[in-house]
Amino acid sequence: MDFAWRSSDDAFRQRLRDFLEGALPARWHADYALKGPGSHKMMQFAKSFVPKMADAGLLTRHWPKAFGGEESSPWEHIILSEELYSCGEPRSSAYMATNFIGPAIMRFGTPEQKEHHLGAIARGDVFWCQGFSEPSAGSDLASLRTMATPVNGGYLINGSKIWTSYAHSADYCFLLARVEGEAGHAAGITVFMLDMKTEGILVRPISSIAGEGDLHEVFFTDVFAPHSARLGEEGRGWQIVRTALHGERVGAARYEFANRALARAIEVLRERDMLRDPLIARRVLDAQATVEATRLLVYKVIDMRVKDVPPTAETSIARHLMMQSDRIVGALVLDYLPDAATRDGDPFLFMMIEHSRTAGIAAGASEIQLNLISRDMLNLPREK
Amino acid sequence: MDFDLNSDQAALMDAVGQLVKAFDDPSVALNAFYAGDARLDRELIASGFLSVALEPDYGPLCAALVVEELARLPVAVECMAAALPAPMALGKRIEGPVAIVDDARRPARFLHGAAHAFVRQGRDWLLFDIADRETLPVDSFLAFPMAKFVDPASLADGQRLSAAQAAEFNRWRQIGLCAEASGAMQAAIDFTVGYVTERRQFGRPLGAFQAIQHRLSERTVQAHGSRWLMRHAAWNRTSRDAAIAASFTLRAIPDVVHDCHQFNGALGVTTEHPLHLWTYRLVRLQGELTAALADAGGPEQLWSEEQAA
Repeated sequence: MDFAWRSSDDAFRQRLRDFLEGALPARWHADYALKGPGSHKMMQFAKSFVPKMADAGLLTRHWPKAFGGEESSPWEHIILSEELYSCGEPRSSAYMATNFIGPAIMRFGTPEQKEHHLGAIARGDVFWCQGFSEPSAGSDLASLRTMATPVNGGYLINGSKIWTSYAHSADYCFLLARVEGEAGHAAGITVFMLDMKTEGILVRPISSIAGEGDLHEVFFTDVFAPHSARLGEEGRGWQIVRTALHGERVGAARYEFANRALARAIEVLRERDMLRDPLIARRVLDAQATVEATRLLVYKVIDMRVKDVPPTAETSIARHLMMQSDRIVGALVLDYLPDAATRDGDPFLFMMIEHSRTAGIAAGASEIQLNLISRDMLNLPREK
Repeated sequence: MDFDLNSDQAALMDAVGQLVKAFDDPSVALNAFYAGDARLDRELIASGFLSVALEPDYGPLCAALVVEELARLPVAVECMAAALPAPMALGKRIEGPVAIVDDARRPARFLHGAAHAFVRQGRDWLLFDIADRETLPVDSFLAFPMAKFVDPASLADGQRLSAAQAAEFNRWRQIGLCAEASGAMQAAIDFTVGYVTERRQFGRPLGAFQAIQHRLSERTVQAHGSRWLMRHAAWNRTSRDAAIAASFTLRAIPDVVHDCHQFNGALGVTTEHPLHLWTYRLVRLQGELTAALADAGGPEQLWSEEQAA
């Protein structure tokens, strides 16, 4: 048991920091990151930034060599996530394509689909959105109702998606729709890789307190999807998504954003001579402790992935802590630096408050993680 | 980074596990507030498990793992002070049992029968050989043997720890307390999970209610966080990491104690049921850890130490 980084990992982190210093503009936080990764401004920025990452050999290093990657370790992958997420995710939505959509295509796609999509993803030329949630299918994703009706040459898609981040300027949608079967059952769910320029798709932004451009409704009215847009077999969508997301395990390194926001909060508290108050000092220590616990439990999951240990409920422990990191740092900021909730305050802390509101909601309710811990780690009896 | 034990660590923990198994009997303290075990005390000394902190092949992380493992036992055993703060502050082993006394006028755990005691006087820590000192057992509901000095005013001839030694002592005391708390929290949760799986009300096991499942899962998250922060602190050896582990553990303990008692119901407050053997150690550890963390200072000191390093 030891907790030291390998020197090659340290070197990779430094290389990444150097790259970011050169690639991010001055006033990055105030002028760009503050708008949120789904904002028009950030997506515009990402369209030049992501190809630069690709040119620097930093975009798809974790991919297999056969697809132009370097098979870099999951440690490098989490370092990448920490460094990029903590500065506001300048890749915008590109992380989805590189982290799980690309690998899903490698595993389940036809040679033509691989040819068509993987090169474009690896070059940073295309941006995807993820069409999973629906008005009646959030954490209970198997309840989705969007239908894909077989027609000559492909399918007609009808239905709607909601909370779809990045939909307003995505090139493709990684869409789940039901070819057959009833809402509530995984059978019949199928993956489509839908060109967002297809006729019949309507994107409507939803105003929110969670960041500009982050939430949309997407309506599908008789949208034609050719057979070539279907990933894998009909009805195998559930399995494809589970496999693809298992590779992700812990998702974005939200705790590192919370960590940097906490460091910024400490600076501001010090400037205002508030850090000597023992109550505030203790709150800072408690917040730092939650962030560090999260980091360790995430690293534990990464260590298991490096060793090819199948996912366990330890992943849920890490994800639950990730939510708590956002909450505890957000609460500290709101209690002692309440001006950060206005545009007059610190941009980083403003973003922290936004983040802390969606912690435990985005990417599945945190109660699901508690269910998994109960079932898979504590082996508690089923409710019914 | 490697979260698994290396071969030396695994061999050590296997041996500790063998020893622990022989004493893992919750009925030892039936109808008592706590139980000690003189045979376990002797075997721990003979095995050398409490001396690993200064051994190059093992080190303080191993000592913390040993303390964590021993704290899972239903019996109360003095191992923390002898295994971590004493050798790490002094650079040598001293004869145990070792007591830590925050206030010489007040009761402390394991004081009766201790060979040595670290006693806080003002801002200083002094080490006393107390084999010949008179101590008086004090009744309590804690699951530790408590005692106090009969004549605290006579404590004048101790060895004063240097500022560096005192800092080291406090850092390893926090890590050691977190190791004890981690083991006891996990044992209390494990016991409670077993209980709610068996106990039926409203036609089903208590553990089938989501209200209980979620709270036990949240307590599990806290116990895991506490354990890994403690292990990381024992590996990284900084005051900042020790304080971070202490802070997290201090938030976890009351939640774990409360929920474990809640889910064991009235049975859990009886001494016929072993839950208190862990929870009523935890309530004492909470007080000691609060004192140790207060000694560590706030983020201003802890963060600046990190920058200086």
